[in-house]
Amino acid sequence: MTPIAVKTDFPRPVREIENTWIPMPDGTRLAARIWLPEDAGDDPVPAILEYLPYRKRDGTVERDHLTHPYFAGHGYAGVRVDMRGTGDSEGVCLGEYLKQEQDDALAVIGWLAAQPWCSGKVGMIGISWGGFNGLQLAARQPEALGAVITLCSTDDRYADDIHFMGGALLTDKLAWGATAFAIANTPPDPEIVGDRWREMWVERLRNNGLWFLDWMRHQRRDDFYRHGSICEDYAAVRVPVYAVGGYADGYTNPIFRMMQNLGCPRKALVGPWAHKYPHFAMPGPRIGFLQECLRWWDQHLKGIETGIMDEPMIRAWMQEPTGPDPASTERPGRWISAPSWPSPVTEDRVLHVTAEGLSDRPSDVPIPIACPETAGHAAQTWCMYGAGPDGPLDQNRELGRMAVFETAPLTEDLEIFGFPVLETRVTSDVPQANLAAVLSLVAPDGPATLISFGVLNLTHRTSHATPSALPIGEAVDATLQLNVIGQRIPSGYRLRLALSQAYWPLIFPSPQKARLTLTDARLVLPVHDPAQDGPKLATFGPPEGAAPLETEVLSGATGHRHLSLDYPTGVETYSRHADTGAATHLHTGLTVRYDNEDRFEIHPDDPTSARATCRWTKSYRRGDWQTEVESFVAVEALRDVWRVTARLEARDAEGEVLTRDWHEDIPRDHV
Amino acid sequence: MIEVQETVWVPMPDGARLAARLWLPEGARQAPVPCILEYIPYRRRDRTRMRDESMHPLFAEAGYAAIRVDIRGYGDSDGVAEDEYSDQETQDGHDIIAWIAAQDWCDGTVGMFGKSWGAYNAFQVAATRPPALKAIIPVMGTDDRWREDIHFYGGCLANDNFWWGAIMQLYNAMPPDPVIVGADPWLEMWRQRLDEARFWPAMWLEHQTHDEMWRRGSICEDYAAVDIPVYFFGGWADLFRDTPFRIAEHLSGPVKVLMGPWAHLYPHEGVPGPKADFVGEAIRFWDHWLKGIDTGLMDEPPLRFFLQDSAAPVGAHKHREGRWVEEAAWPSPTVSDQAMWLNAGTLDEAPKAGDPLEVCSPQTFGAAGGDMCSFAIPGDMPVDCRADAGGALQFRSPVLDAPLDILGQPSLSLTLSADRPQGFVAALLIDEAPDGAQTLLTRGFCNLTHRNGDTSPDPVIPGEEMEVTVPLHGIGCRVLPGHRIVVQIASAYWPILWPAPEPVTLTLTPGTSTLHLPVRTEPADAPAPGPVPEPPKRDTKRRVTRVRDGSMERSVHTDLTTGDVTQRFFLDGGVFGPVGDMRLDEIGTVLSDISDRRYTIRADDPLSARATMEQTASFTRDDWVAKIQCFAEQTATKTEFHLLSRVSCWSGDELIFEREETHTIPRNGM
Repeated sequence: MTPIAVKTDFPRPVREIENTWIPMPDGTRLAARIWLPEDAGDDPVPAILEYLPYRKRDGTVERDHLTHPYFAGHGYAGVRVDMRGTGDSEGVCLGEYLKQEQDDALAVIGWLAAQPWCSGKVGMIGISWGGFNGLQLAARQPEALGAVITLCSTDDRYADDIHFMGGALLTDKLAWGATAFAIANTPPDPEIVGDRWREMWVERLRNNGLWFLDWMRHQRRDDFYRHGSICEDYAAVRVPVYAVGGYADGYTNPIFRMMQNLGCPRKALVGPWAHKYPHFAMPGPRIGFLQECLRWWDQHLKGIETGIMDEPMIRAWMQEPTGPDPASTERPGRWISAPSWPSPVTEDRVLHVTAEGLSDRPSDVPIPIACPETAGHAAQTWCMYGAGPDGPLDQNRELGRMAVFETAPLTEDLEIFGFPVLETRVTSDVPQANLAAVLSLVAPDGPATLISFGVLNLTHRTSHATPSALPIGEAVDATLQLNVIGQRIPSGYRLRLALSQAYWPLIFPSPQKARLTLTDARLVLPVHDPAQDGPKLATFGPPEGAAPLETEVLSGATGHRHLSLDYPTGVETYSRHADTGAATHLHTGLTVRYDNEDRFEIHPDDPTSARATCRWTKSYRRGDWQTEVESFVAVEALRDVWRVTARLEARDAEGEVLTRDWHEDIPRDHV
Repeated sequence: MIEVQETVWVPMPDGARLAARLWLPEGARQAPVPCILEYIPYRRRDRTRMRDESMHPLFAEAGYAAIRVDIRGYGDSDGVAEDEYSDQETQDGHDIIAWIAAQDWCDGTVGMFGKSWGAYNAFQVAATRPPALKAIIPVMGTDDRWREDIHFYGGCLANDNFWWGAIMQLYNAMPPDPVIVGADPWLEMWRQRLDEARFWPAMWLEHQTHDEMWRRGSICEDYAAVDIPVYFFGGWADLFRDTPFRIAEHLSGPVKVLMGPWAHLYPHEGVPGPKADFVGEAIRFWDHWLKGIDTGLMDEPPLRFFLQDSAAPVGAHKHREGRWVEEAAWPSPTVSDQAMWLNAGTLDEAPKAGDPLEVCSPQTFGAAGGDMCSFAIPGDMPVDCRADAGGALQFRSPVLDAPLDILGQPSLSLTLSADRPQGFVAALLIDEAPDGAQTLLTRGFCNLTHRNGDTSPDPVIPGEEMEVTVPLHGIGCRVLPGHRIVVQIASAYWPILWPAPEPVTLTLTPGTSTLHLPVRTEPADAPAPGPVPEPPKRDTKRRVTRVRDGSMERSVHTDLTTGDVTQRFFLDGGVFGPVGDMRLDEIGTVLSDISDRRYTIRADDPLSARATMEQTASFTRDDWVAKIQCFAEQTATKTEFHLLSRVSCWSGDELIFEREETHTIPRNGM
């Protein structure tokens, strides 16, 4: 793992505006932190906006310190704005990607362009939420917006977001819902907002609410998810878009879809990374991503010809096999490219799923799938952060849980680049069922490494917008697309496809235990020819960043990922816990600590026993000022409803500030 | 009116006195009666008081004196226990019988019964031929301490050697009751026990081969020595599943056997059900052999077995479906050997050649195994074997189209090689349901270094083919149509067996090994089996009060980051259940017993194995408070076992004893 080279000697000296207020049309003011060249007043620069609810003051400081001063030192204004109702900004925040959020961003962009230190050009960069809103703002076409770098984001909030996968309900929807719930209810910093901090906090606590309930009320692809999905009108995006992500992340499929469908100037960069910026991501190799950003900004915001648009549209990592390691730090491989998507040089290879394994020859023997509801515990999280051991475990742990189909050891190397697809006829004994497919490499000495997976809610087999119950006992066609992957499989390895109708705790189970029968099942692999890697690409520079955040660590980080079987009841509990420990940020004197535990319980024979609980504690203090938010959100997957329970407790040095509870039964809608 | 004597003292020839509780039927002192003896270490005054009262008074009501004697060194008896089934214990048993026979309330005839320890010593004392001893009822014990005791399974070291030894570490540290032995002597007696107690898990581990220590007390060494009538009771969920078949074959006197679906519990409290009227059946047996009354018992078929149907794999069964079958003799003409060949992943009637199959089981293989000796504690029976999937070679039969009845001791004849000088085979026989669920039927083990004999280990020559037999424990079951028979072969079985020093890969060539199933075919003209009555409802008002609720945990916990797998067996209430603290109302003593047993290992490292047991027990009554804390640990290097024992005792608040000892014992083929 390459450490970041710290750069302090920049072409232009940097000054920081610790906080400034950006007025919105309705009078609400958003808090911003800005790094810019000292001489920007004389020599105005483009602004690079990163616009998030994650607290510029103390939440994203670690990466902000690496990134924004670096941009500033190279002739840009790096701007971190807290969204309305979050961080130090005024107002309330009622959900993700709302029109209000975009309207505010339009005002922010207008304000930035009008600053005397700004050249009038604005770029947006962001990962995840900030990657989403970069695309969404591009579609709103503000005049000053000149280019976007979007990382780990989506063009389709239903198909590829943390809420659903293949129309099945991700437990990450809950984990994210609980995380957002905790963040959205944290207080502003009195040093920034003054004595009204408590009043602002109470306003948030009373109003920001539990967004997760809204999300659960929408289980099919309706207007709720169409909003903010640029795939609804790709043509609306006219400015250049650079889409970046990694195979270990959950948001990499959209990159290829955007390359296929966008009409604007566009590029894609796909590495082995999890949900992190590539200059500090895991698994490595990390790259000099900020240098790459500068080439993009210089090209599109300053009109400097950097050559970046002469390179192939898509640059992607072809991974070498590695052993199963949930905390993988490095995925060796090589860069390949494609001039467009779909790649003109991949060819499909079909493997038939038969009782004897994956075969070149079809078989008419039906394949029964009736796995325990505990199938799936060796999965990664849908969205891997690479921060803890959240990667997939040895897939041999799924033996006896999932139905397994293997090739014989390969007699020659095989390279896959693109989306593996499972096409099958499927018969179900219940009207609603899921199908999960996991593709792994089995090393000659046994360990099995997950390389791609996918799930499909079979009631969504023809449409996410208009799901339809399965006809019981009647075969239907289903196509399950697995996640995009670039992977070399050497000869001697076996390819394994594992199937099940449950994939816990990645997705919530179907309401009744399903028994599926597959016929004519085929795995279609996009095969890459190593002779067609594309032109030789310039190597990336080493990972660089500005001076890192300085902290004093008061207590160390701890965490676990556990699986526990209770023998008397047969209930299996999967849990993960992460405590960041307490650390004081030296530049603000704030001491922060976050503690998160997620628990997932299920009985192997009873899908309605599924229960997931996510807890968070977030504390912020400086001297006598001490605040803490403690929250949990739980979902029970009952047969007809999702039973949601949540609690929020906010405390300061004097004790309780506010406590709120939520209980709601939300009818299940074909999920 | 039954006369109950809380304490009678049974004098031994060397002057030691053993404490006993005695139930006499009305008039026994005028018209002497036969006496029924139960002789165990588990404290007749307090810890077995309730269980004793479920049997002994009923024997007295049926016209027998019934006596519950504590073994030397336990309860209120004098002396110190040197080992289980010691020569002293056996001689004391012999002398107790002589003393009983000489009492004015005894007609000179004695019967002996007991479960587990009490079954062992019933066999052992019988083998000394006390003239007054006329019949015995061993319940869930063994004739062979090497093959079927709690120390070694198939010549492999069982973690139960550690666990059971740790249980006895606590028993060996328990005090006598000052009300019985006197307010002054009790502390002195306690100290003497503590000072002289040895740490048995280490003591036993000094004997890793089939030596004199294990032959002692094994009546299989000389079956002819037991020539009085024997009625053996056992259960398929219990450990002792081979003894009934062996004694039925080898004992020369009359033998009766009743094998139910039970765990390690008396059949009148048997779980899983159906229960059996053990006391009633015992009385019929005593009446026949001690009183000469013809109860018809001996005209009935002597061997009765419960053939249990296929059942879903869950860690707690309250009841098993099935039916009783009867046999006139063992071996039985109704049972024949059916061989099936271990081919390439299949189990077939004919051999089929194929490429060699290899398995190097993860050290965590066996998590589905439950306990070898279930006490019907929820979760202590085997769960779905799919929990261990992928860790073993698996051989599946075709789907059965008719029910298959299995009765007896299956076995495997294996031709295989191993890649390390030391290792074992764990073999599982499984009933696979149509939905894929796998229920363990029976299992067996074979220490490969004992393939040429169990008295001195013979290192495996890596890669060299060996022919070994893996005996599987006795079973009576019916596998239903639509199910499959599955055999699994593994090289690890944690936490039931201590692992070999290195990961072992076993290689087996398809078409060279066989499974031998004892398949029972009911003769067409077989009469309907007689009833096995369930116990009648009896006045079960127990004179105990729960003063604190107990709890329990049985779980397997995997740290997915480090790979540590930990089985935790926690019981607040002692070995018999999560009963918490109980007050025995009649004597006022409050009993407390909390045990926390953990077995930890990592899949890739047999030397990461660690067993620990923490126990806290107390006896409290008014101002008498005796408290014991024990800790025991076992780990191993490639060449040595390391054991640790810690015992601390308090009288009231005063720490009266503290000892920590460590033992390093060379591994010898284990």
